[in-house]
Amino acid sequence: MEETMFSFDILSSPGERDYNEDYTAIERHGDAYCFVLADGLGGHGGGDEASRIVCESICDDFSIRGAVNETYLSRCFELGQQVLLAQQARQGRGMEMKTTLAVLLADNSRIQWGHIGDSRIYYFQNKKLRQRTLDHSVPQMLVAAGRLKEKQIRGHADRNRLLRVMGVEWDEPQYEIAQPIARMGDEAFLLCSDGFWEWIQEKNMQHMLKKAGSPKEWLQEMELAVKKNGCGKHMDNYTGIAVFL
Amino acid sequence: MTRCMGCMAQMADDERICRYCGYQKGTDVKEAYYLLPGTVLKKKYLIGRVLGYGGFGVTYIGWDHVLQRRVAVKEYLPSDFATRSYGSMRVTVFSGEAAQQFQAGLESFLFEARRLAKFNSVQETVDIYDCFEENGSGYIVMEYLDGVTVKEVLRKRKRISVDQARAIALAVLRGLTAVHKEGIIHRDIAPDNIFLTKTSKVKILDFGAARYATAVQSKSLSVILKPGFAPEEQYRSHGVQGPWTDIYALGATLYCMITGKRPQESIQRLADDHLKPPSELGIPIDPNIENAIMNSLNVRQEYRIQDAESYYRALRGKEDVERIIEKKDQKLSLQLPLWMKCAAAAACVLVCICIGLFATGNLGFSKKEITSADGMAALSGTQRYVPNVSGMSYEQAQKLLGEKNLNLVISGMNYSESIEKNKILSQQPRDGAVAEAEETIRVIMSGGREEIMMPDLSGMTREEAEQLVIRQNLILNADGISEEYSDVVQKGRVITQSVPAEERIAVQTEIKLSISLGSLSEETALLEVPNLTGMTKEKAIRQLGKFKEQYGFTYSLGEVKNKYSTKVEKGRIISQSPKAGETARTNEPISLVISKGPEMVQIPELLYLTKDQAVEKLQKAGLTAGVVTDYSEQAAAGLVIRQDIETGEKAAKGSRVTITVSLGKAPVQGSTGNRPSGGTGTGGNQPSGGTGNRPSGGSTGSGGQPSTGGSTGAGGQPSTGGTGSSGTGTGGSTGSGGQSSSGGAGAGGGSDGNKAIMPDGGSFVVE
Repeated sequence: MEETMFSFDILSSPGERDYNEDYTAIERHGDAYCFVLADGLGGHGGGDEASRIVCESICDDFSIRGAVNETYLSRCFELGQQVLLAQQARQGRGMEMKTTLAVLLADNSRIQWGHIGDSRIYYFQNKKLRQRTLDHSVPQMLVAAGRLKEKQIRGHADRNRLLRVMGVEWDEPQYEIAQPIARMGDEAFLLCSDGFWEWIQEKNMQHMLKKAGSPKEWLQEMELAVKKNGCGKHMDNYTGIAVFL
Repeated sequence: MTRCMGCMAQMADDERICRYCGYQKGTDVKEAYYLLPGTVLKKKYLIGRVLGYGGFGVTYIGWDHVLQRRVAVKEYLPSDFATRSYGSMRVTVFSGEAAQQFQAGLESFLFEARRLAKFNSVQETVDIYDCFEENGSGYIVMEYLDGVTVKEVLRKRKRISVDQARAIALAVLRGLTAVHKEGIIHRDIAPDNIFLTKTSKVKILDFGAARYATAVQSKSLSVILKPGFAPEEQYRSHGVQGPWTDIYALGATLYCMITGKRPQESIQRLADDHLKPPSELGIPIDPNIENAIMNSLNVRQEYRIQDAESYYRALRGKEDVERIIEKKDQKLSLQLPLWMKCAAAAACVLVCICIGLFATGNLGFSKKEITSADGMAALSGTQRYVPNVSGMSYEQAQKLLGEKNLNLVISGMNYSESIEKNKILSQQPRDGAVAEAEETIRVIMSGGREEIMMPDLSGMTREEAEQLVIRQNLILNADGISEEYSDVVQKGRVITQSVPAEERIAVQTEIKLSISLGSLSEETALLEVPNLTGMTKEKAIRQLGKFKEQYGFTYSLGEVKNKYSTKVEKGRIISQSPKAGETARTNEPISLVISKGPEMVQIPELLYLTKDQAVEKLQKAGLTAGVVTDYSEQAAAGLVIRQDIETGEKAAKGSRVTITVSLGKAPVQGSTGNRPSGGTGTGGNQPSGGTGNRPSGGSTGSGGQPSTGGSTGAGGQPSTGGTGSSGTGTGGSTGSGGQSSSGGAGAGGGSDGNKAIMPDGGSFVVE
């Protein structure tokens, strides 16, 4: 197999908030890459710490034992959760320190991803949008119940109400693992926090992907749209990781 | 003798470890913000170790020194808005919006304590003994309970028998029946909130704890709601909560007690319901009991058992219970299924309620007391639940409330960072409260972000500018200050500011400044000072620039004083020092006195303030107030509905601003209701002078009966000047459209625009 030909780029900004509680990290182990994005929950305190701790612990582990399979991906979430709960206990901050999480693992032959919360992973194949992760949020659930249209999620009153996050004890795994795909070489991924996808429509993401020559260009074009639409609306931190495979 | 801080048992002074509970003397607190053991509150409650804590406060074990008994003391300390430094007693509230939310939450906390203290009289309640404010926060003193929560029981035993679970649920339902009648909904029924005492009593904990997310940006519902126990209407900000919310949660708790498993999360069931009845999980259970439980767990509230009493009857097992299956894709406006009865509840017998209270920092800025009907009547068909209208515009709320046959009135205004101007900030009564038909919901409107006028900082020294910026509640960051060389502005003084002076901006806006580094060149010359008087500052700067071109050197502008002047036009220089023609070295700064013009003030925002507040605000701003009155459909009586000069405009100091004060809703013509009786009333109304809806000048005086159109609402709004309801009004006039001659401050009739008759009984002519 030829060597992994990846290119990727990251973009993260506090938006119009005082602090950036989004955190991203990229790690490598041999042929395998790990892309992690976490959006710390504001309003609970310690969001920035939560996102950082989770990302760092996952990357530290990946650099030692990373592999691209479902077992390892589950482990990422379990590990992140363990570390986060331990930190909460140590600091006595059980009500605080929560975060979303999106993880993408890829090597020469396989791509695997999972998420919890409302940070999204978009999967494009041959520059066309194939699927995205479904948010663990009230509006997404209402869409599933047939009470809301998909296009009404952005700007919905309950948009910020999440059903599942890292940092809340779970009886059984609350994260969601997507079906893995075999790598063909024409894939592109966008991991992004809600502060990002809130302000840009999928069809624009796709349009800009077609024109972009590199992940960096793609992110830059998208950022222009995000800023234009979100400016002056007290916009949230926004973060994106773009990966071309 | 001392007391053990762990269990409040008596200990000898030299004992180190309590022989009852093992608590070690001197154990330090686990969190810096807990009160230290040994603290005494209200001079009689000794505080011990922490029994529990949540997002909204801490519970301590305590000892009531006066009555010599153990107590539990709950402290209001919401981590989002406040904290406490180690070892201190006083709570530290965060500044800004947090302070307001803290205050609102505290009022809620104490109010609910008083509301729920009504249940003390019943034998099996956990009593509320006391509630008070201290240390900048609030405390509730309650009966101390010895036992375990259902959650702890399930942790050990996984599940319990159907009969045991049923007995617990029946007790909870007895409690809920009584509390729901008072319009209180628990909202957080779950195994960890049901307590079983060592003497086998059942108590419900933490009423009112679970409301909406506190801070505006709070995202994770799983912190506020308990997945599996919370019904779907609690997930949606516009979901309507009521007794059925507690019914669902209790059903989920019952399910959990008998199966050992939490039911599927309600919001997920909305999309894809795969909750299995207990019998399918292998639990032996009477089919009627099972139907009752599954009915209470119907996802959509209109299919659920609606109230505690019906549930109680169903669970008793003496009746057949039919299973109600939810139909798919039904619209919400359904007729109630036949089996549901709107119970006319008899007085409840044994109410066992352990009441622990946490208030949340709801977006409630209301500082007004609740005035809605405190119904002792049974929950009947005329009652309805108040929906959530916060965040809506007046029109939207009016429509929504109109659909429920409720009225809407604006009762005040408050600034807010988070709610847009002219949207509703908070409401009384709260959503989920029980209301009668046609009851009035009072709301506080948001004034949006507080705005101020940008001051003129040019010519100020850096420190002066910084201080003024802080005082005006604006922001100046270190990286917002740049420096540049200038020949014409003295070193250390402000050259330019990012926002022009006198522009209206929101508080907390960031300002940028440019500070002078002085002249690049160090050489000076001895020259004659040019004349700058009469010029604007900009012209003076240009003049100094020309001076430099001519002579190679120039003077810089130093201190600028601004004075009001009626002689010199605004912005022009009144005088300078050194004076024109004097000889001075060119590095000496020229200080100026610039005219501010006649003193102008900015018209403040007066909409929806009370008349007194508005007059005070005007007077503080250096303006005078003129008052007229008018009816208003929207605003409550006594509030300002119009001002003749708009907010933000400027007027010379001393100018008069005329405000229109609401008289409340115009009464229907000829109505005889709501008349405050005064003395001997001659009965019938005798309008004279004005007719129709204007308060007429005089009235018939005797007996103090108001003329038509004058009075509305409770509290009596006599339209006669002064003596209103006292009935001794010898005044009152014949209403010749003019003066009521005695009885205190009778004022002229409503036809004269500036003289008005005030709803609070005084007449008011303000110069």
